[in-house]
Amino acid sequence: MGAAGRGWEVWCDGMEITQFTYFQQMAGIECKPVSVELTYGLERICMFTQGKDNVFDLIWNNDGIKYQEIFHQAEKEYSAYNFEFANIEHLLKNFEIAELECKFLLEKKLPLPAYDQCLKASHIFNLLDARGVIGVAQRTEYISRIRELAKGSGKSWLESQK
Amino acid sequence: MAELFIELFSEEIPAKLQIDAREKIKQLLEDKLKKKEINFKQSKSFSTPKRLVFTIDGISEKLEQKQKVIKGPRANAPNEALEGFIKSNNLNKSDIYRKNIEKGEFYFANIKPKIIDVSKELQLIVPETLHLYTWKKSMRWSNYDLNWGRPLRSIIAIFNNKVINFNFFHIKSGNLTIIDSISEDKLKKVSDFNSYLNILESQNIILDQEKRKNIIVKKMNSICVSKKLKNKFDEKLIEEVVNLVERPNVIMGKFNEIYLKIPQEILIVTMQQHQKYFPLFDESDKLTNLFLLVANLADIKGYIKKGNQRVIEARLSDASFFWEKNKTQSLVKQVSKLKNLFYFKKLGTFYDRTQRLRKIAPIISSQLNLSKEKIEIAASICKSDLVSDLVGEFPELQGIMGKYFAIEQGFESDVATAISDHYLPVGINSQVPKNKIGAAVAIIDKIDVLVGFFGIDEKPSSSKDPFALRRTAIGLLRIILENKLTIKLKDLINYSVNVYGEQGVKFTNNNVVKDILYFLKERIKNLMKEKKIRNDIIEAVSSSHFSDDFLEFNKKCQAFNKNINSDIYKNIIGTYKRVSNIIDDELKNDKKNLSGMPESSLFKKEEEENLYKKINDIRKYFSTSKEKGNYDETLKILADTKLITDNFFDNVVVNDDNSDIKKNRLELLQMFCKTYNNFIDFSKIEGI
Repeated sequence: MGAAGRGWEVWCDGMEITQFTYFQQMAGIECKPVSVELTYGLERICMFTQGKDNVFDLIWNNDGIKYQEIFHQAEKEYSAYNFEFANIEHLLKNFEIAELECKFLLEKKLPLPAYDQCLKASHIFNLLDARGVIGVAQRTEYISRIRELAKGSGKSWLESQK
Repeated sequence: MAELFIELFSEEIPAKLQIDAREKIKQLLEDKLKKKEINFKQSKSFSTPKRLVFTIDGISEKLEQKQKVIKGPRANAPNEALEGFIKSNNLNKSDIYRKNIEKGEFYFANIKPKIIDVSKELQLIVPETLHLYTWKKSMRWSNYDLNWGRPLRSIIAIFNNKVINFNFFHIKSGNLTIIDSISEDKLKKVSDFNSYLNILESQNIILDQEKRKNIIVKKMNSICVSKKLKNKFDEKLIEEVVNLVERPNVIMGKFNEIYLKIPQEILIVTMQQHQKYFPLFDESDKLTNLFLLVANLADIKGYIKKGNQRVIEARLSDASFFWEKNKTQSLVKQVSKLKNLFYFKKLGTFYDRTQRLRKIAPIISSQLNLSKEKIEIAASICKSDLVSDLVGEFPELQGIMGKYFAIEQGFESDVATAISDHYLPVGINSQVPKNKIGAAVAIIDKIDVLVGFFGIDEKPSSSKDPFALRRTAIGLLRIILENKLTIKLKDLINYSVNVYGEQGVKFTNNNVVKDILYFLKERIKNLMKEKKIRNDIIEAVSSSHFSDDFLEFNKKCQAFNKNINSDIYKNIIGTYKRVSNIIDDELKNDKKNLSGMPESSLFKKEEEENLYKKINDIRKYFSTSKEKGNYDETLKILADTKLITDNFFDNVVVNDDNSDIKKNRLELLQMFCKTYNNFIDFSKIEGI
């Protein structure tokens, strides 16, 4: 997404529980002040504090509701979709469409909806990646295409603020 | 005599950056002091992830500067030069005067004797040094302008027990160190290095990286001895963990033995690369289910050990599940799954790629006289493991997993090995494939990559090489050179271009063969430089090298580099230089085009005839000789002309009054040079 920054993987007893990253660049633009991002990790910290080996065994609240009861169905269905059933041909087409749409909206100087399309393209790329259909070189190419969309959106938005 | 003590406290800096900063900043400090003629006894640097520490002792507090005269820029130099001179030497305008010396008029300055307060100097030197250091990777944070490895929080700078006051960006130097713990950070006052060490010691922090390393290695070795285990500790990993901790604590962990039946590489990658553990081996070098880890805290309640064991169990349990599932999935059947793995936009899928490799297989098999069937099979299945779950989880094991699957499925062992070896070499220190089938598949795989990307004009630029084509080209060359393979690269490249064409891939570049051969030539020049071949020899060989035989390129470089000072080489180069000097002298005065084609009718002397005949003999030799690698005969023939050229120069005056005769003699000499340059371009050779 044209973001660049340094930071840490945060480890606890051999498990990466989160990532802490400084965003020196967003959409290819140098930022000041520099914001920080704390990614995922609540579940892993809970597994650690509750001493559980399986995320679904986490206790959700004082009424004995487990993580499983809330999230298991989603995990199962999305895993099936992401890894097995997402239609590759459709995804490839959708990526192209989102990219075209983003570029078109950037021409019309509409950075916000353009950025939506950029996010959509990025999401589709993640799905393609999960389906395991993208080789190393092709991956680089997709990432650079998404970065271009993000950069365009960022630049256009900044111009709209002048 | 006084001591300088500096502490730079930051958020945790990764091991490699830390080591670089530790060594380079120390060096920069020393250089600055030396430049200012401030003497010192010794300097040391230490680091933990959060602390970069420098101490220099035996510095005198006062510096006596003797009277001297220093030379500045030329009197007619631009004003900036003069200003720079004044500034860098702390001069006044009145100290400066002009004086004529042999080389012209220059500025000079009288430096008056004075006593300099070293602490004042350090006030400038320390921040200047910090400014001077550039991080290999750095960052900005918050609203600050400073670029540092990781956020810098405080600076201690003390000389002779007193703070050296300066500002470095938003930070003011002081004498307080941060002692951080999980609950709160405390500040402690430091008066010198020794008091600082005492503070750290009371917190069980070991500042000296060498001490930490000793503690860790000693502990690990003693565990190995007591458990009768073998240590094969990875030196790089030791270096890394030493610089990941402040309070090293070695812990032994264990995982379920059942995982020992999955391929070792999976276990080792998981432990070593993902988890930064040290795998342990028994006395017969067999991997055990024990490992060592280095924590940053004492494991009082055993949570660290338990937590780490839980993590490795979970990872190995996934890996084991995938191994059982993947090992029986037929590699041949998996090939069609590669139709869904996209290689690169216009270059098709990995299925297309393996089909291309299969089609080139017969060409390389006949060039290297190897089994066509084996190369075809290996080429077809060499990418199949890319669609396995295991390679999805462990991308770094691509090829290696394929090899294991192939062994499980009963493929011949050299075919199985070719699957893992065709990716080699993976880096400058990596081996090239020694297995012949592996080398053959590696070669055609790399040619396919180069041809594809060059074909669609995705060539590397001077700064960018996103598809690592340089590495691919160097890999290809290394396989050829290190296995001493005689192959016809041009044919392979041409054939590969055709195969792409058959698949309907449209190339926008019509000069693929020429471009790739040029690219390879540039790479081999770099390879030769790395092998410490003299630069002029590389240029001389390169300048006369027009074929696709890079083995020959290498052999010529090696032969010249090794023997250039032997008599026969000296003799040949001497003779050549004698001839070429005359041409050079002549062309300096009078620019004319020499074709190297003398008219025999214009020869007036026997020596001219003799030389002409000799050159023609050599030409005939070059056009028929197939001598490769061993250049004894070529060298003998080239050296053999010495007598004839000596005779020529003794009896023939090139500079004849008749301009046609003179030109003809120069043409004869030009012919001589051109002929010699068939071997290597002698005009590039320096010296003698």
